[in-house]
Amino acid sequence: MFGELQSTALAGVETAVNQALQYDPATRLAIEELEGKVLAIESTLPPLSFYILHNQGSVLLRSEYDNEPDTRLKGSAIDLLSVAVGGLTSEGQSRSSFFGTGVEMHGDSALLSRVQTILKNLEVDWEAALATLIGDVPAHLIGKQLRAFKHWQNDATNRASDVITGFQQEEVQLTPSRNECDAFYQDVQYLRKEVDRAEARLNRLSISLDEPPRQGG
Amino acid sequence: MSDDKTTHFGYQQVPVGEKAAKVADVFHSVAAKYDVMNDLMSGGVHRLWKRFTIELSGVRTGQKVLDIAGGTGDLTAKFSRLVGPTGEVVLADINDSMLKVGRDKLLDSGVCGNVVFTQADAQYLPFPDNTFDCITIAFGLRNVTDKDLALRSMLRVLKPGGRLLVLEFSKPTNPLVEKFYDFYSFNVLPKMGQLVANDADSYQYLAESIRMHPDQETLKGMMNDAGFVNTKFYNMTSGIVALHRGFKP
Repeated sequence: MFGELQSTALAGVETAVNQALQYDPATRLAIEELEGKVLAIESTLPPLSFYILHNQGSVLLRSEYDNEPDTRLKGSAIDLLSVAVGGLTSEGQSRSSFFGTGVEMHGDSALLSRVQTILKNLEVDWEAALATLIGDVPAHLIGKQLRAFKHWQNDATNRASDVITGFQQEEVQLTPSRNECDAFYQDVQYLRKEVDRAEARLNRLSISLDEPPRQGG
Repeated sequence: MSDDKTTHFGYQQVPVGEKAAKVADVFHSVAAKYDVMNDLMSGGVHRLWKRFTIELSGVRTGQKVLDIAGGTGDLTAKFSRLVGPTGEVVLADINDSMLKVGRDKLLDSGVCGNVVFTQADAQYLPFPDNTFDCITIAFGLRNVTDKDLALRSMLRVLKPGGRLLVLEFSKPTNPLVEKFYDFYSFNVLPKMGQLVANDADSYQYLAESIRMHPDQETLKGMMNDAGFVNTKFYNMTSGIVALHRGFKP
């Protein structure tokens, strides 16, 4: 069904994405490898569905698509977004299961994995984009400031995290340290195995007690 | 020729043989300002209508597309990218002024290599049978003298399974919208045409020709009669414009 609002929004996003991709040739090359692949996104809240097509290194957003898409994702917009941007484990591997994410997936999971990898490696050269508007030198100066700010922000976040962790674990001893946790997990594991062994021994004993005594020859 | 049959040219009745020349005069006159006027008249919404047409075309890499009455090449530019270097798009228009404007615009924007320009009459398409995967005619069918003949001609050059998309002004579905649309068409459009393109008559013709064009159901019936199957129409902007789609069996 034709909806002016959705069509306008999709057209705007499509233009913005493809403009940004102009400044990330590696991602464009990766998208070229997805030629002809179609990903359907069905958001339940807000109700909205669209298709992502890959054509000649660019991304096309469509509200209609005749054939069955290669992969179909269904869930609320927030869940879908969290799978799209945060769908990678801490080791950088693609998520192999959607259990607990609130997102349903049908079709080719390899396509989704490739899209997630592309999103992870996305590196748009915003400085070059800005340079076409305001010139090289001002763009470089702004870029330098932004990079310095990002560096400071990362540094501050890491330090704050370390300080809070140290305070919780060492000063007020509210939470255990990782080493303490690991030792505890190992003890639990050891206990579990010991209990399993004891259970097996008891089982063996009860079987041998139930068996009638053998007749001597 | 003693053919005294007449057809409509806007609200006027003209001899069948004269309509094409009269329509040609209209488009010779507006060709240079065609794109600006489209944006002004529709408030840019014509881009969304065309976008939806592309969506329903389902065109893929390597396919052959015919864009009839392609004018200044809006659809052709998009199809050219979709079909890629292994496909082909034929931009056909009966009017050489429109074709020249379209060709220059496309070449200037780097659209070339897989695009061919042809001056052709939609009623007598100069292509072999079963040639195209998709045919589009956007805002062109109402200017064709014999629409049934044109539809049959399109069916002939389509490949079996290929689709025809007709994007055309139609009948508004909402009476309030219709009232406003009538006022806009007959009072604002000709003045806009006079101001921008220095041609009020052509835009008066535009408004009249839209009213003379068959409504959604009638055009769907005409497509069925011509031999298309699975025909369907999509109303856009409250039916001001409708997109008809049919497949060749």
